[in-house]
Amino acid sequence: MTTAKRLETIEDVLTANGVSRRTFLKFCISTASFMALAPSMSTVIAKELLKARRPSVIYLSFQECTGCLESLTRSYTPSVENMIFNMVSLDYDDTLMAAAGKQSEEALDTVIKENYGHYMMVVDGAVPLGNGGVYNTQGGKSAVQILTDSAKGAAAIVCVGTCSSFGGIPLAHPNPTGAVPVSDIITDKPIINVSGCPPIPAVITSTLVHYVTLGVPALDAHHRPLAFFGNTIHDRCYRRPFFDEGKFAKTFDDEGARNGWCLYELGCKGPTTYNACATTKWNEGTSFPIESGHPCLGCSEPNFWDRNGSFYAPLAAGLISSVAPIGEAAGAGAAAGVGTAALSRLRNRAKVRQRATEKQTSKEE
Amino acid sequence: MIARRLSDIPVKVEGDASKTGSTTGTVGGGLIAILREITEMLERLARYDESAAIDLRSLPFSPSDYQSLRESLGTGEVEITLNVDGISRVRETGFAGVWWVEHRSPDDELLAVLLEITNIPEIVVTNRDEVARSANRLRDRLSIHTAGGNIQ
Repeated sequence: MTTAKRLETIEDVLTANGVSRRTFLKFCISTASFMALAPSMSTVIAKELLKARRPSVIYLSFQECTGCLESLTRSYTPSVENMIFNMVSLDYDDTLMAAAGKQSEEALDTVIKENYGHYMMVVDGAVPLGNGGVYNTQGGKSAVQILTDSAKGAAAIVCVGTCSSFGGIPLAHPNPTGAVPVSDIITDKPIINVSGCPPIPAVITSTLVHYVTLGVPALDAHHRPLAFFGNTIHDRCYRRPFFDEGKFAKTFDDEGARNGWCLYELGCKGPTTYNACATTKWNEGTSFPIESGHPCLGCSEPNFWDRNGSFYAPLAAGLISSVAPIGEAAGAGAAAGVGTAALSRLRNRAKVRQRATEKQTSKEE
Repeated sequence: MIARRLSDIPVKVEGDASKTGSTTGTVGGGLIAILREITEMLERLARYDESAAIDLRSLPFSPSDYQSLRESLGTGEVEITLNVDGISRVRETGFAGVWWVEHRSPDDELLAVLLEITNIPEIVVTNRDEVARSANRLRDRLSIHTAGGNIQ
């Protein structure tokens, strides 16, 4: 390091950047509330964060579109979300760093060596295994090689976005590159999946804050933080009363659509999608897709691109009941919805069911 | 009717006190439970000087429940507005030691709503380290203003 004094703790950095203690405390209070922790935890988070050494973070990008990084860095509340950059030492990110080529690869090697066993890895993008992994290479190394080498000394891995969490779009049929999620390759490190295409910025930052202060948060079966992925979109949807009443939009410009009725029959995947969109919302808390009149695509779930045949085909009752942790009410309501759609969509459903069966079979194989 | 805005969507809020004009109507079980909890917290504050807080957004409250809670607690003598990376409002309720605290982002998005049972919410109190840094800053400024002289 060429700087005279390296800023070691988070407190050093906050002071150097003129972040007032009240601003910091407010950030901790918001984070605790956002993560549904007890309010007293905000004081614990504040204390832990201040004395914590800024963890070294390596951000690796593989088969991805950079949408996740855009989500993180272009959030509309920069003062809060960007505070995360005061709290971690982002030592390698080939998209953001000034260095390029050989210098950047050297930087990666140095960070790994200096922080071996302690650094946090953030991975964005799926990893192709087809043809020896040649479909994604950086500096002459394949993505799978970079991932495996870098993961050896990592304390934990945070997969940002659906591609690194579940394979996402690269893994979608016909998956020409043999893309897989990080968890298929790395099996001996704690992995936190922050899925979404992209994930909500505050969900990314709060997960990182939780990791720095209190360790790995409580996770669901897909290794996603329960605080944000504990409920379905449907559970918390403001259009839920219409679903319960059986009032559905049938096309995008009918009376139901204009009246803001439930989008279930237009293919909404809210009932089988776990994410915080309905409560946290997007773009300064303005809205989320359903609020703009579009069904949920289910982007935070595994196989979201292929799983239900079409974004605009209604979820079939068979598919809903095959999803293990769904709420009873959602299942029952969804079945009623299918009833109303049955006549017009018989053919469509048959197709969906056929695809589901194919999927099930291929999974079992 | 064609709904053009979100607010046009006819979602009915049941038991809305503002519509019935009654604030003394049925008090919901949730409200009674939280008032009991606050009472206990106040007793602990009085006896052991132990602060506590309730995250109001974590409760399964309807808008009318919030309104009933607000009305039950009333308004006290102190109201503080903090300009901390967005506005934060700290209001004492009619019960000394019970504070209604709202934190908003620079875009006025609600970040957290808390009931703090304490002598004074921590966010209002000046931090000791910052006091020391202020003294240094002021001393530096004085030395600039004192032409050619060193006040130390």
